[in-house]
Amino acid sequence: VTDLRDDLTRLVAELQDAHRRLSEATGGKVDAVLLSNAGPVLLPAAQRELLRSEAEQRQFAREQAAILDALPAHIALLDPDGQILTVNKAWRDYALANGYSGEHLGLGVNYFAVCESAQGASSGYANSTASALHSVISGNMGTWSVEYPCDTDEEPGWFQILVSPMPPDSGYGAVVMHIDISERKLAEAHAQEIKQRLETLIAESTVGILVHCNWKLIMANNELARIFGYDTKEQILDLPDFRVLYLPEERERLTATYEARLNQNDAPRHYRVKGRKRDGAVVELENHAFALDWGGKEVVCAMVTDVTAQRNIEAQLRQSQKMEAVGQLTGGIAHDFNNILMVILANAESILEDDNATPQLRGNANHIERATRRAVELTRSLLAFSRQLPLKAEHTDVNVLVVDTGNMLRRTLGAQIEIESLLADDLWPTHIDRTQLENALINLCVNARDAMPAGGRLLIKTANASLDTESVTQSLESAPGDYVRLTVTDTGSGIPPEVLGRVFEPFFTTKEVGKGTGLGLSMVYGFVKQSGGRIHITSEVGAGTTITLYLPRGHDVAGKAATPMNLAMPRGNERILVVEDDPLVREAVVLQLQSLGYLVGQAVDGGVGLEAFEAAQPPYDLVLTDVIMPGLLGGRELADAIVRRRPETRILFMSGYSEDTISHDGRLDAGIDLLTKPFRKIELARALRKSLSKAEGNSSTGS
Amino acid sequence: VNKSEVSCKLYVAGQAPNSRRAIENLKSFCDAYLPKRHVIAIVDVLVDAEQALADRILLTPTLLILSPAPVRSIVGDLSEVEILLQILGPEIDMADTLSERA
Repeated sequence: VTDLRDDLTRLVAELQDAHRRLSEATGGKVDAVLLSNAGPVLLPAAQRELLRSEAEQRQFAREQAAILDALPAHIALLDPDGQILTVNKAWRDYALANGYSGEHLGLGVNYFAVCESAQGASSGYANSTASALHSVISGNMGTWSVEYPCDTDEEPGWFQILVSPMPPDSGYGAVVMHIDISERKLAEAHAQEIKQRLETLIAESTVGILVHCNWKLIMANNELARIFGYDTKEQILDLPDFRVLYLPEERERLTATYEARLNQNDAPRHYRVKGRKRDGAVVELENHAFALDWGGKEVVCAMVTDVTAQRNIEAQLRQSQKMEAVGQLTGGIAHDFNNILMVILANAESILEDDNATPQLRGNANHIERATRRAVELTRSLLAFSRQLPLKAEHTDVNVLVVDTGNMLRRTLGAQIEIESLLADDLWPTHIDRTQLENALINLCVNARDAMPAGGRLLIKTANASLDTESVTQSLESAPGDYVRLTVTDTGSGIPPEVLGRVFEPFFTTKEVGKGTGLGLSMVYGFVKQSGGRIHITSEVGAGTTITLYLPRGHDVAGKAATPMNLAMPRGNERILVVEDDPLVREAVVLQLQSLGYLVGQAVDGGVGLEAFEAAQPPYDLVLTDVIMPGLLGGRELADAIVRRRPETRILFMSGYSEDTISHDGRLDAGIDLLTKPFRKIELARALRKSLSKAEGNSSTGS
Repeated sequence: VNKSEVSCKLYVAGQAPNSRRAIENLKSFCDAYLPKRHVIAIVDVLVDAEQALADRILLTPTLLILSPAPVRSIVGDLSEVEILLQILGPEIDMADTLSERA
C-alpha cells in the first residue's frame, strides 16, 4: 500500500507539473489541445468548469422536466421531421389511460403519422393540424391553435391543440400541446342553454319587461311592444327616449322616481302610470321597477302590466254592486208601501161601493183611489228595478210587440217624432213578460221623445244576436248565448259621458224637477236583468242615444193565447180562509171577500191558519195566504201542509213582492196563482174564480 | 459601396470558460462592427474533433476567418478587440457602426 501511495503521489505530481507547463505554453486563454493521435485534451480549468456545467445542466433538465410534468396540458416536443423527442407526464398518463403502451407512449413516434392516421370525427382537425405543423416548423407560421371535440364513452369532451415553434438553437422543432377544455366548453354550453331558456321566458311572458339606462331601452320583450300598440319590440328599442310612451303629465314623476332609485333614495317599487298607445289610446299600467347591475352599469328594470281592462271591469263591478244595494233598499220600501196601499185601496173601493155614502164622500174616495193607483205604479217601478216584480214569462214575438206598441206610441209621442222600425225577418222568439217588455219599450220611447223637444227621428230595430265568450268577458253579468236584440235609437241631445254611467240608478234624472220620476230606465234595467238579459247604452252629445236590450232567446213553441177577460165582477159563495199577519190588510181583504158573497174565515199566521183549516167543517174550498209571515209556517209551507191533508183545496197566494219564496230566478213557477198586492176588488174576484174553476175541473167538491 | 460578407468558424471545447467567453466576445464584436454581414459557424471539438483536425486546429478556442481571403486564425478568448479590429479593419464600414450607435 505504501509503495502504491508513493507511486501515485509521484505520478500526480508529474501530471500537475505537465498541466502547469501546458497552461504556461498556451497562455491561459485556451481550453483544449488537439493532436491527431490523442483527440482533444482538456486543460484542468476547462475540465473542472465542464464538470460543474454538466451538473448544472442535469439539474436544469430535471427542473424543466418537473415543470412540464406539473402542467395539466399534454405536451410533446417534436424535431423538425415530426419525431417526438419527449413528452410530459400528462401526455403519458393520457396515453396510458386510453390504452396505448410502449412505443405509442410517445417517444420516437412520428407525429405527422399520428395525425394522418386519425379516423372519425376528429380526422378533419388532425389533417389541418398536420399541415399547420409543417408551416410552424418551416417558419411560415408563428403559432397555431384549434378546438376539437373528443368524446369519451361517458361524456362529451373538448380539447384545444396549440402548436408553437422551438427556437433555432433548440433545433427548429415544435411544441405540441393538448389542453382539456371540456369543463369550459360544458360551462359555455350550459350558459348558452340558460340564456336561451331565459330568453324564451322573457319572450313568452305576458308581462311587459323592459331594461333601460337613462331612458334608452337596453332590452324589451314583445309583450311590452304589444301593450303600447307596436308590432315588434325593435320598434320601441329604437326610440331615443322611451318616455314618449307615457302621458306627458306622467313624465316628470317618472324621471324623479328613476333618479331617486339610482341614488338609493326611497322610490316606490310598485306604482301606477298612464301610458299612451301608438294609436293615441290611454292605457293604465301597473309597474314593478327595481335597480339592477347590468355589466357594471346601473340600470332600471320594470315589469309592466296592462290593467286597463281590469280597471274597467272593477268599475263595472262597483257600479253593479251599487245598483244591487240600491235595489235591495228600494225593494224593501216598496214592499211595505204595497201593504199600506192595499189597505187604502180596499177602503176607498169599499166607500165607492157603499150605497149610503154621500156624493161628497164618494168624490173624496175617488180621489183617494186615483192617487193610490199612481202610488201603485210607482212601487211597481221600484220593484221592477230591484228585480222583485214577479214576472210572467211568455212566448213572445218581439216584432209583433213592437208593431202593436208602435201604434199606441204614434199617438203618445206626437207628430213631431218620426218613428221608424227595422224588424228582422227571421227573428227568434223570446221568453219574457210581455206586459213588462211593453212598459220597457214605452219607457225608452218616452225618454227618447223627451231628449228631442224640437222633434226628431226614433228608430226601433230588432235583430238576432249570438254573444260569444269574447264579447261577454268585456262585461259582467251576462252569459254567452243567443239573444234577441231590441235597439231604440234617437237623434236627440245625447247624454254627457260623466252622467252616462248613472242613468240606470233609480231617482237619477236629467229632466226638470217634476217632469220625471227617474225610475223609467231603472225599471227597464231591473226588468231586463231579472229576465236574464243585458242592457247597453251608448250616447254622443248632440248626436243622440242608443239603448240596446239583449233578451234571452226562447225555444218554446208558440204559447197559448191569453184568455179573454170577462169584464163583469164574478161572485161566489165558497168557503175561504184568509191568512195574513198585517191586521189592516187582513181586515180589508176579508171585507172585499164578504162583499163578493164568500164565506170567510181568518188567521194571523201560518200555524193558526193550519189549525183553523183542520178544525173547519165543512172544509175550506180555498186558502188565500200571504207569502212572507212570521212564525214557522210561511205561505209556501202552509200551502204544502194543506194540500197534503186535502189535495183538492185551492191555494191563492198574495204578496207585496215575491222573492224566491214562490218564484225561481224571479219567474213564477208554473201552476202557482199569485195576486200582487195591492190589488183591486175586481182583480181579487177574477183570481178567485179562475182558481176555483180549476178545482171544479178536477173534482166534484166545488159548489 | 457594399462590403462583402464576413464568414468565420469558431472552434470551441463545449462550455469551457475560454470557449464560452470567445463565443460571447465574437458575437458582440460582429453585432457592433459587422451588423447583418456576418456568418458564424460554431464547432464543438468535444463533439466533432475530425473537423478540427482537418482544419489543423491545435488549440481551442480558435477563430478561423474564412472569407474574405486569405484565411486567418486567432487563438484565445477574443477579449482583445484591438486584435480583431486590426485583422478585420478593412472590412468594417464606419458608417454602419456610426449609424448603429447614433
